[in-house]
Amino acid sequence: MSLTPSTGQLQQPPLLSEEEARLRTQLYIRQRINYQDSFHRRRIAEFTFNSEKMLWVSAGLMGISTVISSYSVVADKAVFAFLTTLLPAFAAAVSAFRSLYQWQRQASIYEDTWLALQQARLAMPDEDYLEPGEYSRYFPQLVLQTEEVLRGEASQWGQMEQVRPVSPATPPSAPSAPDTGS
Amino acid sequence: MTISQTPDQEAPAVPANMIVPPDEEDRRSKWFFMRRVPLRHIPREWTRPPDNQYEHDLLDEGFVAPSLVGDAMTPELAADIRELDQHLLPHFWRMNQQAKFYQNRFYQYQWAFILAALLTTALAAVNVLLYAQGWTGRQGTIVGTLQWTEVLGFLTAVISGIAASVSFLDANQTPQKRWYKARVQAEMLRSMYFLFLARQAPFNVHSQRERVQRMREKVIEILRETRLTERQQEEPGTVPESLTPAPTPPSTPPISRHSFTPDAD
Repeated sequence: MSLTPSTGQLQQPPLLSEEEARLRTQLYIRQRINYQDSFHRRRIAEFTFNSEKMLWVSAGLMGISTVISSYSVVADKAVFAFLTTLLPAFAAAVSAFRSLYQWQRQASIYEDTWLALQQARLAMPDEDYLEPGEYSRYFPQLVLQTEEVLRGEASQWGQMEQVRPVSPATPPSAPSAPDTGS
Repeated sequence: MTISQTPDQEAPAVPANMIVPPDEEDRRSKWFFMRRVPLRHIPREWTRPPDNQYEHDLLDEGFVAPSLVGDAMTPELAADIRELDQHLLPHFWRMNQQAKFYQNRFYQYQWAFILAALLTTALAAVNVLLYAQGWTGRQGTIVGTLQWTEVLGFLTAVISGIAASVSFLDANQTPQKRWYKARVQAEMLRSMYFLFLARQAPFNVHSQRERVQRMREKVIEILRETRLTERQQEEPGTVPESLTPAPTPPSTPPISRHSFTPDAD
């Protein structure tokens, strides 16, 4: 702790040394940002895949149902009437799964979050061009922006209203303000 | 080199393995009925695995384990990891496990509804088909002679009964609501983990003792706030005016962060 000559106030030493900030920055990028980045990319790929494939399955079922039901009118065979009854049940099951998992909507939300994460990365310049002392300067911004993005994603699911978030601005014993999302 | 062996004056170096390794999930089929099929059983309570497995779990969940840092470990970082492991992570693992349990339970019920509807229709269609074909084959049973149409009708009734039971369980256990709550708590604890490691507000104080105390208070605050909200919903007459009631959860399920087990997320 030192005394600043101009103001006469006590100046606190930084919370993290430059080397410590550098280490923690790299850990944060790997274990928080890259982890979330990877998680979101996998989910986007999975949801998009299922959304597209199940759309084709639904279309196929509809087409086959139409053909069979048309043919059953002239064929006069009970097995075609049976299939005409059964295929819409499969189509309904596919529709129920689409409604349950909502792949398209979830993929869209994850895509938005993934892009926001990429934007949060910009809070820190490329490490190749960082000057001495800049890790401790940019690390807090990187953390705050990333955590805000991830809180924002959670609030899109309507989750964050159920519990109050850790509010950085309030003292520990005071109740924190509800997160309004970002 | 372990944490305790790390020399005080050693300058932190860049950990060598900073590239995210390929995931097992990437190699598995993307079809939802292969990857997201509900498991038969997921334990509700978390039990700490052996140290090697625990360290593996830490890395899988995106936390920091001493083995990840290796020789670059500093005494300050080691102390922070130790405090988080002692005061925050047990609660995270507990809530994470509960979220997985209720998520699996929710999907078990939903799959049961969907499959019951499909099977009921299919059995009814088969029944009509057999009747139309005039196939009145009889099967001797311990209760006498039964026609196939009677057997199919009975199976239809059994499936409908199962669906009704599942509906009752779903309405009373509310697994989706519990899944949401546990997942939110787990994600908030995860966020707090990194705020603490980065020494960001409210953990931006110099005293390690004060920082740890704040972290312990915040952990309890997160766990307790949800309990209070639950109580408000159960007892509307006792809701304090200063606390707003929680809104109804949306129909879209949240996705858990765990990425290596089907439907665990």
